[in-house]
Amino acid sequence: MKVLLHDLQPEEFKTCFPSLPPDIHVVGPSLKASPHYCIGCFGCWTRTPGHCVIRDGYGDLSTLLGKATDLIIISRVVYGGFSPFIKNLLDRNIGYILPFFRVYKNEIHHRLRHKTPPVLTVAGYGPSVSPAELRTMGTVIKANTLNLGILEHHYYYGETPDSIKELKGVLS
Amino acid sequence: MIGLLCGSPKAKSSTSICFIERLRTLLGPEQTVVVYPKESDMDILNNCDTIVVVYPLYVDALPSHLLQFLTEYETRMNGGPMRLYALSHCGFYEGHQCRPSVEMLKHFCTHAGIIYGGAIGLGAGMMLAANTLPQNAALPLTQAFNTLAQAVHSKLQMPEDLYVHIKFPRFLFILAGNFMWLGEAKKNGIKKRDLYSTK
Repeated sequence: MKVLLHDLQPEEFKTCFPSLPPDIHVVGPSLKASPHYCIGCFGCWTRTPGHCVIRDGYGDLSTLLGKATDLIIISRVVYGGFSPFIKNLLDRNIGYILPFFRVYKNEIHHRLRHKTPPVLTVAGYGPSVSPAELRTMGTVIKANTLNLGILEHHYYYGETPDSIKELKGVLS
Repeated sequence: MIGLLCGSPKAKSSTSICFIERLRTLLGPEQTVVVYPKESDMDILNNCDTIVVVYPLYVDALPSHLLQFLTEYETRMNGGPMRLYALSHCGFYEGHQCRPSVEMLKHFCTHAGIIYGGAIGLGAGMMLAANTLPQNAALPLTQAFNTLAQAVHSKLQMPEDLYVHIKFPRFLFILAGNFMWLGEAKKNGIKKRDLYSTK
């Protein structure tokens, strides 16, 4: 199974990606409601382990990612990082990892809840993104892989999501 | 006026606000104003010539609500000269894990036409804020904090960003952290084995 997180409006997403593989779980902006932001309570670790305590449908990715072979993120590049929508999904789903610490690559990181991490593919997009911002995005993604225990990742950029050729291969 | 922007979603009960209160004491309460990432505080920030963003590290970057605020504030700025400093703190041992988030703030400054003044990244920031560390163990963090406060006070560029960690054995930090999480779970009636749930 693949999990796809994106920040495109529903119509734009349909236009860019008219057909998707059958075994894919897609999470993107809904016309109904925006996700609440993380309130920093750590309830996803110590009250409802693995799940966000805010029950708005955006905080239950841990179980899905535990079974996923691929995690694909399509995000506008904002200040050299993910867009607020994608960042919110990441903040709301730290239940994917455990609260406990481990030493990994000579730094402290969190221990893993799930045994097999997915392959991460990030497709950053947006006009006028500077080379320095693209480098920072790479640094952010690398840090994410260390903290999420991801062993293989790929990072692409294009001015628009549908201009990233590699993404079509991942989503075929 | 110096705007102290609290970037924690926990706002008035956060580690960030503890640091902000310390900064207010050093900089003078009459010279500072505490603001939160909400639309109604944008006008207050527009009357400041300095912003100090104090925030916890969330998933290696800025918390999403702070990021959202900055993207909106960028379009609502009044164009006056402004300088930005940052205090980033994380729950990890190593302060340098804050670096990518500071890089993001530098890009925000470029987009917004703000002068970047410098930043500090504190490992185990909550231990300093909560005063649970012996003075010697907290010394690197305290020194970095004072360097930041001096730069903000004199409106000078810090020579370099500072990423520091406590003088405390790393294995003990890990033990203390893990023990704390077990205690928090117990308070919520959650057993140790349930913390590992994959369902």
